[in-house]
Amino acid sequence: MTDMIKVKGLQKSFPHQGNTQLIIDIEEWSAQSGDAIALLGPSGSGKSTFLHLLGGVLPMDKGVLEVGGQKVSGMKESERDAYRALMVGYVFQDFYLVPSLTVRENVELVLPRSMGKAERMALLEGWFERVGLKERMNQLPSKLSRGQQQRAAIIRAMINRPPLVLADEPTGSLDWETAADIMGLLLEVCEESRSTLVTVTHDRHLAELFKTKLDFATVNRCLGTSPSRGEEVPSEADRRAFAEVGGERA
Amino acid sequence: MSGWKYVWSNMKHRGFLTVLTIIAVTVTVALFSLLLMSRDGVEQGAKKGYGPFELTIGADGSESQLVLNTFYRVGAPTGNIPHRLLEEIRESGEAEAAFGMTTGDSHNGYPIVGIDPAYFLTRYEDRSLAAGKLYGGLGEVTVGAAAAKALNLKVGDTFSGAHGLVAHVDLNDDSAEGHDEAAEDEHHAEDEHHAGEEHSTTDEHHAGGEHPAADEQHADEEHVGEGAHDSEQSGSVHSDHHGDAHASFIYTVVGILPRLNTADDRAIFTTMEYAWAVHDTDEAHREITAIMIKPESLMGAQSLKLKYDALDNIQAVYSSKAVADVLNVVDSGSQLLLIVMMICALLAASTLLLALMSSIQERKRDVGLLRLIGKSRSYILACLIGEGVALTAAGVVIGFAASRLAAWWLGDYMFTQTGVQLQPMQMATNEWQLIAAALLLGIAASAGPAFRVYRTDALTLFRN
Repeated sequence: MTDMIKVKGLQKSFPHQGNTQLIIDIEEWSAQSGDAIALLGPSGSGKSTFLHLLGGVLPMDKGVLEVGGQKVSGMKESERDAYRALMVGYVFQDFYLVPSLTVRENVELVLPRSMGKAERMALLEGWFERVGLKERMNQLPSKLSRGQQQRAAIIRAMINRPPLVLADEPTGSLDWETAADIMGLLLEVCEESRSTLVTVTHDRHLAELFKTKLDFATVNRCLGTSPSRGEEVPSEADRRAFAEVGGERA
Repeated sequence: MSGWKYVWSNMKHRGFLTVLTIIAVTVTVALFSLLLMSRDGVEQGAKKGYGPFELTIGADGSESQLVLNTFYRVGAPTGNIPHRLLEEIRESGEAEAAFGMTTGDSHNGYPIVGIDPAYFLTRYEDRSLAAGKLYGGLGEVTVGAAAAKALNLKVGDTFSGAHGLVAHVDLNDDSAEGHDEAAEDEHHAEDEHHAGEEHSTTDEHHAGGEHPAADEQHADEEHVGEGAHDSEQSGSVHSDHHGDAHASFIYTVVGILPRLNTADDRAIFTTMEYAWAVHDTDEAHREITAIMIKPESLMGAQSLKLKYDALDNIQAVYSSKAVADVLNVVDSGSQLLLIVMMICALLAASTLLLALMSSIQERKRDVGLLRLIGKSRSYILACLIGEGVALTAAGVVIGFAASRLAAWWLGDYMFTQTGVQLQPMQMATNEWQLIAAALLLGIAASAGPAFRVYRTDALTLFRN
């Protein structure tokens, strides 16, 4: 087994009430290719922030992060854009489909422009057929149910078969039956693609579907630490970012 | 997915706002384009309006009025001058060609111009007529292309003239009606006459005789052609109890001019003798409205101008100078219109700006997603500015098509009414600049909203 994700000495802090608060402090952690990991933990424990660090959405303060042999830590913004496009698939609780595009066009957003039209259509039809949406692929997201929208979002995350798939509460807004169905689909396609799946969930029943259940508190050393422990002075971008995504810790 | 596809989807999604924005640009561009075409039409018409006739001689009054009436058939003549002046000028050796002209009467609003047929050879060189031949005998007319089309005149048709230049256009009129129509025109002519409308040639007598030559002549129209009552015969003159000779003077169409793209397209031409015949003027008192002179040389032009300008009640003007004066006035009007159009353009740009601004919040979430899936900032910027450019370009294309369609549709009417000829198949002066300016304005209007969203990062997606 090769390490798909390697984390060493990773730290991320945010400004909080005039101080900086260390949110993520991971000494060492790794995940193998094809792993399916359910990341569990209380609200505000930094799980979502960790996903954003893995996805290159947030820059880290300290440490080393390698994904698929690429050193994400130290990447410039444009390099992180390219990294996300090539290496990462995202699935979110709110699907985040562009409302002005059909679900097919939403998926096409991530396909390489060099792909021929026939190849593109065959690929799209295959995926939509697999999730039972072939007849509705040319409809706007607003015309689809929430479960159908999440299926489309999964296609968008998986169609390029990325090595890393990050899912943040992907079934949080679905009923139990649909949630199990969606989670099953996600696990199935990730296994098939040998993608490493890291899923944040609060649902312990759904977590049972995963081979690995990871309590984030066992990895993140700063869980429960006081804001005064922070040492780094965050950038302005970090301040904004914390207000948007990390603020729930307050 | 290409950026253009994304832009197109967005435009479709916000259909109403998209259509509204495009309409704003379309209307502005169409109006601008029509203004430029009209300006070109005026300038082109003015430039070639007086042909080789550098000098114009007529009755005292406004220089512009004399030239406008003589060459552009606009407004009333300044008055009449003795016919003998024409002979003098021809004999002077200073003029390569000189033509006298009589105006003042019309048929359904189209002026009947008396002029030597050789004028056409001098001005337009050897060109084939659209139909028939040039007039020669009394009562024969050759009709300008636009007038023939508007009046539905064909070779062989007959009609009678009306006094004055006041328009009485009845396009449904069957001009070949002969007697019936003559009676109708007679009535109309009488009305105009009593209303004191503008008129010239021998009719100046009624105005109190501005000119010595005219004073000598009596208002004897009432007696014109008494007893000569053969309306079927071309050029025959007769009267009724009102004594209006115009109504009963029958003209016969013998030819149709080709399209000349000058005011001559809107006139009906006959011999100078027609006015004298209509008004039964004896040879000693014959008058004309103006003399058009193609000078032998520059010195000749100056010599003639000095000589005839010095005469009482006569003016000699350089045609080009009078036209330039008129163009200056028109140009001032165009400048004012241009300012109004600039305001229209700013309003259109504001509409574009508001349309793009209004979708900023919605866009931020989409842009956050695009950033998350790895689209670069430059892709985002290109898409947003591209949308502004696409809206502007659509407006420009439709606006140009609309202006062309309008010019094509209104062209004949506008030419007939104003003498301004629109050229829908040609790019007007500065139209390329108009396209460039519209697109630049579109880019400028989109740049603000685009740069606002440009700074959006992937984290924006997770707000709220």
